Amino acid sequence: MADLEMNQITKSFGEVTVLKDVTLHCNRGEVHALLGENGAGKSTLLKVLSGAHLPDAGEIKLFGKKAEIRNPNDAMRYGIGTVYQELSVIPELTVSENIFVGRIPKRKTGMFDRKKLEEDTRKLFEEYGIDDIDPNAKARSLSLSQKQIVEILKTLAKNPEIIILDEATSALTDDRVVWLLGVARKLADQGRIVLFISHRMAEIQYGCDMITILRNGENSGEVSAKEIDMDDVISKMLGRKMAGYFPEITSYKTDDLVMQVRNLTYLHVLNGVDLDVYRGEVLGIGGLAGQGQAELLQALYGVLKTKGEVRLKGKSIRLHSVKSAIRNGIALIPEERAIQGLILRDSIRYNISLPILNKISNPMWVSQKKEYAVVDKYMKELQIKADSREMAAINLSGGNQQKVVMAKILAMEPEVFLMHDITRGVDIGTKKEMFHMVREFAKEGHPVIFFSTDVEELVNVCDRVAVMYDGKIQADLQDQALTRENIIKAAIGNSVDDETAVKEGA
Amino acid sequence: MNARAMFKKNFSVIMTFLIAIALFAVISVMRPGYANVNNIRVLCITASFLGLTAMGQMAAILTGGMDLSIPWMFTIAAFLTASLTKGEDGRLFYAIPVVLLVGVLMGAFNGFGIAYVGIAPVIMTMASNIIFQGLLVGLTGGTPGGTAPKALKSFANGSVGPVSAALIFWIIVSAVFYILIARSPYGRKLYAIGNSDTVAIFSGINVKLTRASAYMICGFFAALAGILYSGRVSQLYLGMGDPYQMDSVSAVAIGGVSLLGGSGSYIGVIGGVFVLVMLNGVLTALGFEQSVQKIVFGVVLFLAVLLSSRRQKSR
Repeated sequence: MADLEMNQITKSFGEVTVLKDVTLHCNRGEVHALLGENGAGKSTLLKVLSGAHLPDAGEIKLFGKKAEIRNPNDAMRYGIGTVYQELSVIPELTVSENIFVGRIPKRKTGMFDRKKLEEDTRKLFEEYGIDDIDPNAKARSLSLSQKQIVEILKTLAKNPEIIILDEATSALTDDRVVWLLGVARKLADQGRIVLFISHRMAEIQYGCDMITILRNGENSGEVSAKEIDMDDVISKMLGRKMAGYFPEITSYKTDDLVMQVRNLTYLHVLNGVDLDVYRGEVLGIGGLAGQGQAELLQALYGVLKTKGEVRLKGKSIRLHSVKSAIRNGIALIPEERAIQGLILRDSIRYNISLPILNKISNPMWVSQKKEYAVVDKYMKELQIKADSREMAAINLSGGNQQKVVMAKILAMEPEVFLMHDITRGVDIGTKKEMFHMVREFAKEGHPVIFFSTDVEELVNVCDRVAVMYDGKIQADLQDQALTRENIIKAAIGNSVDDETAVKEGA
Repeated sequence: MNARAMFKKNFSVIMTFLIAIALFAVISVMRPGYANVNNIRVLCITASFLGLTAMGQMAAILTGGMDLSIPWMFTIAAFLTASLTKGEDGRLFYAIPVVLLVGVLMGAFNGFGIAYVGIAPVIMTMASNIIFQGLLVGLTGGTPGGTAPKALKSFANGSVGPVSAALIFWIIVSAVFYILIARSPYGRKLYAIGNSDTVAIFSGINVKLTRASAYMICGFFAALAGILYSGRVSQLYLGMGDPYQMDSVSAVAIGGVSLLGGSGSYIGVIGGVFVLVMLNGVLTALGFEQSVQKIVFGVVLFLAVLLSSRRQKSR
């Protein structure tokens, strides 16, 4: 019997089953890695443990006893601490206030005990060997890597028995990655359990003891990190390769410069973006979360008021509203299909025709004939599975909802496509269809700006990838330079020195 | 769509009409002889005025807002009609467009505050209602008076055969309004912003302008009702629009329009108008005092809103 047991955990979101009978066993003194492709269910499994998701079935046993974890508070009571992938530091609080947020020491009078707070922070910094962060600095002034460290210390300060590190190294600088692996080892040596998700094999080989491999939401094997066989691990991760999952890339890129973006600036989020987009290319936008990718797309779609210049086919255009963007032939498939893309209670028909109502109207009213024709055309083209065009969007699966959003955008007949992480929460079959569709748009001569949080997608779907860091394009990668390693390298703020990588705006 | 699906989809609308008919039956049984041509005509005229204000209210409510300034837009329109025409028929041809424009402008004031400045609709329109009241009381010196031209009087009280002219007018305006709300691109956009500003923005709809325009429509219909009403009464009085504040909201809510915006049909609102008018008739026929009538109307509004929010949750 193991100290931590997650047995037969099953979880689905709508029709998509994310975890199927997944089992995870680990013991005190162990740094245990979870390995798998994106969407394999690693994060979901750990979110079940940290109380963020309630499993549909399965049980969790902690140190021999059944644990009832219904919410994050329960998890905390059981001594489970999570370092979140999304940074949650509050910029206006100091480092020490952030670390002890919600648990700030008080004096008997109820006043804020600054002395004790400083003392506690100093002890914590000493214990984990932090000397390059000022505890009294505002979190806003920290670098991304330092913020991530604050995030880690925030969890450690609660003294958890089980520590979950979900991609905690992705935002860290190289020396801090080594530091974190050291901390993980130290915690394990104290008899705690560290659960570790990372996409970097080196970290796993170097810092972990056991590896549980997941594939498509199922257990695919457990191996010891010391006697690791790379080929074996990879085949367990990928399973039988899904034939043609990613499209074959035939370049349709031309020299026809369709869109030029110069010095695009928005608050402190976009700090001067320069971008050239050519006819027939799929231009990927990569980077860690929150580096300005979402804002770049929204700016080009006229949602945000930005400074800078956008030229379309040589002509300077003003993007002061979504309407103006649409008029210029720019269309966005938004990030949140349920919030920005669809009116869930409305029918497929209403949703698709919303942006093109004026186009399909006789002077006074919407022409039913024209509307049915457009809606039927795209429902057929995208193979939207629904009883009828009158079916409410809320009753569709995630993949079909996303297709309705795409149909809505296609019906606008845009010239330039902007896509914001279109495969999120979509089943694998639909993902595959979408990748091929994206390539098809390029073939038809459209420029496609394809933002994805999945490095794999960027490498396998795009002709070229612009990686963003701190509101700027950090690297422009294509041909030989377009690799996962280079994307990740640029994403954490390093420059990519390969001579095939052209740095933009330099 | 087969008949059963049609029935299911429009269940609440059909129910509204059935309730109105049931209430009418109650009056007829309680007060035999009540259901004569004359009384029915009076009921229809009452329904027409409520119906005109309810149209504007529906436009505002569809966007997720509400317009509580109908009473004084209505009253200003009535007084302005009287003072512009000085009781002469010949001046109506310019007076009516001017008054309608003033209604639209008052609505634009509401719309600007709500859509562009971001003031909560209930607060904004409640405040403007007081402002409009102050303006009119100031301008007239608080003395009621003035009278509408004869032509307007005979139109508002007249009939075409057995059918009152006001009812015919309401039916014609309703047809136009129905096309606007249910069939035109503009109507779809109203529903869309009532459902989600965000989706509407991402679909390229000018959300602020569309939202503001809903209040302009409301101002237009309040003015239209006010003009007609100035012909209905022998002498104008301050506060003549007051009943339409909550009655218009009740009619829209009873008609199955969600007070959160984004759903409901105009046909349902017509049903809601008749339910309210019949209810009023029942209470009068049974000889209840004004005070009881007020309480019943309050409770009905309360129930209508409750039902509307239930429907929302059960979706």
